[in-house]
Amino acid sequence: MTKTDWAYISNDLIYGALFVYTIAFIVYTYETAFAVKANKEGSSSEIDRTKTAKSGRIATIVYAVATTVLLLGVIARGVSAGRVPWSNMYEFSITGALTFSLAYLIVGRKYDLRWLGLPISIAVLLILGTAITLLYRPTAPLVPALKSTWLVVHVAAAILSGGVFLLSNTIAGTYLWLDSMERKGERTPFAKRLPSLEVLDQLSYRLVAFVFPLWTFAVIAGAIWAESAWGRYWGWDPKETWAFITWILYAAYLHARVTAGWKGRKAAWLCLLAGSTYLFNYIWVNVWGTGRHTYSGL
Amino acid sequence: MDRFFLFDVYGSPWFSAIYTLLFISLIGCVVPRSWHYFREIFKAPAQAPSSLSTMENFQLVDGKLDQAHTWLKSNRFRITRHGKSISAEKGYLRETGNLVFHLSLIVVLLGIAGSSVFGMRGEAIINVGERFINTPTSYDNLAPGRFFSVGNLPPFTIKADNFDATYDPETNAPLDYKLDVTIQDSVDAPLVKRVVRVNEPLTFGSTRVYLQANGYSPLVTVKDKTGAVKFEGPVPFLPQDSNLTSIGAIKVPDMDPQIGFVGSFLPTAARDKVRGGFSSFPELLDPRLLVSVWKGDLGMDSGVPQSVYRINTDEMERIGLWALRIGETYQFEVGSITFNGVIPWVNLQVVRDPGKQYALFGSILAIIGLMISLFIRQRRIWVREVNGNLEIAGLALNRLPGLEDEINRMVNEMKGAK
Repeated sequence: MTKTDWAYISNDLIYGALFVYTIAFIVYTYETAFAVKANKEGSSSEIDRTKTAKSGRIATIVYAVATTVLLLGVIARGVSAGRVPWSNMYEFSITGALTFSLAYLIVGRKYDLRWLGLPISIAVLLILGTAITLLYRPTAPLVPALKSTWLVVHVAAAILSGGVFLLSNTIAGTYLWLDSMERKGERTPFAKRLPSLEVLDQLSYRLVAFVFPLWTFAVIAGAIWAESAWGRYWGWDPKETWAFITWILYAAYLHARVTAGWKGRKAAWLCLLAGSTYLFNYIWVNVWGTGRHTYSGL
Repeated sequence: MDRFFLFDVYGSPWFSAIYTLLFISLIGCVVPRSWHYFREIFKAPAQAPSSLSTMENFQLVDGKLDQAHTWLKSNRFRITRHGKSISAEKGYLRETGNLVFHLSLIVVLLGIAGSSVFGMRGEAIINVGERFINTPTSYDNLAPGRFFSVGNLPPFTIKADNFDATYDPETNAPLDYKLDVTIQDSVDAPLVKRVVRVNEPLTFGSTRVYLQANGYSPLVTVKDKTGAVKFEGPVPFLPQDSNLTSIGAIKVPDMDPQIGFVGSFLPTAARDKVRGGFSSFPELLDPRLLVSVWKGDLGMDSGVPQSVYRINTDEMERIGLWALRIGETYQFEVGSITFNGVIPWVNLQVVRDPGKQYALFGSILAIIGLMISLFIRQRRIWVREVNGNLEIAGLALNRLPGLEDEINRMVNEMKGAK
């Protein structure tokens, strides 16, 4: 097969993934509706969850299928380019959606995350939709500055951290939402099926603690690469600066939790702030930025 | 604004004042902290609080103090006994992590400072075929560190033998830049052939040479009316866009009146109504040299440094305008210019960064220290014998979960041992 064939296959697979994710989204909506209904009917302590559990399982299976299709699409993109598929924003986005989905599925094996399925499938649909419509670029070879083994190491670590940061942010956001709801009174029927505040608090912390070393590694690997490509390991390029800010904020978050005993609202806000600097760095610096991290039109 | 160095913030006195102060305050902060952590590592556990029942993880069980002692000892707690109470602590590695983190920050700072004080960076444009000799005069700009003497530049030479730039015909994006060089470590050293690419710099000790930019130098010959050659050679032109539309200037002060050419070079000439002449591809597919000829005073004797890529035409008069293909000659009022060909130039960035290994080593160490201090569970367990029973309480110093389970296990195993 030629490289063009692979490019077409990749495009078909990404569209296919979008389709399957849509189905997962519909099943998650159905599940959520059931859960809300069950919560309304049942007393708040005893809720019949058999129907929701069943549709939830189906939704997660569909979601896993979609993620597999997406994985194949990303691999095909790599084959068509003859390199790792991480050189422009379209490729970052499809890989980012993949790591985000994988993080959800993997963490979901240990913790019950099915309640997150609906918001997460919406997020992934948005990321993939934007990628296909606005960011799509045909497969192109690498520019000289990107021809390095560090591309694999540095970008993989950065994307993977991004996926997990995003998941942790979603959970911290949910925490804040539920917390303000509980302060006003009872949880709404929909919110009753979500985990307790304590679980959410711990979970978003554990995700950050788990992925923080990886993010650190991404920054250091970037510095080593910059030394060989640009002649300096650190130059306060916009992307470097914002990566550093993200690092400082997450370090402050971990430090605040471990040493100062922060948790709950304050910690969740700090987590959101740190995560938003990552997103800002990804979107703003790529689209409107002027630094050396901008290559070949997004 | 210039008075406050707002156009050169990183080189300004107030910026260096800020980072010097930061540096000092950081060291002032880190050193006492490190001493504190260093002592913490060897410290014996503090005496048990007077009332354990108000502490976290409190339990009242029946048992003997010695049993608790044995369990704690076999679980490698550090133990001190005060009469009828035991204080035990474990996870001192966390203090070591703190110490490593703080000390390694100093290593990073020293690395950065070392580079800026003992390092240098400079840039030089050389035409392919020319030789770069590493002396101060070879540089277009040179920024030595405070304690770097330019007399200490390592005596290497680099001859640019050949430069290949390949571009994607569909997107015009560069695919590869490859510079073949012949290098010599010093005057008597053997000649060695090397290849330089964007991600593959040359290394001479702690000095590295990077391929940072490239462009074209048109080869021109300028003659006066009598046919005497007044200027001959390659003139580097400065690229303005990704298709290497370039601008430059050819100055001929030896003619009377002085002559200057304000030029544009187009590797692949194209033309439209909006932009006029421009280049549509970065390779030499249809090269064209556009010159406007000016006569008058070039201003080179005024002592004011001026750009080699531009001409101040205030004191000059334009006497001609032409587009030249390779091999063509343009005759103007007082002479002629011939466009003989084009050779590429490369911009070499020379960087001496003696502190970078320390900065890297320091940051890796800092990360390891940070991880240890964040994720090693340091905890205390207190046991006191009260009326034949044991009061047990614990404290997780960095609030990581797991202490409750540990105390329960201790209680169970003590019961089992009975």
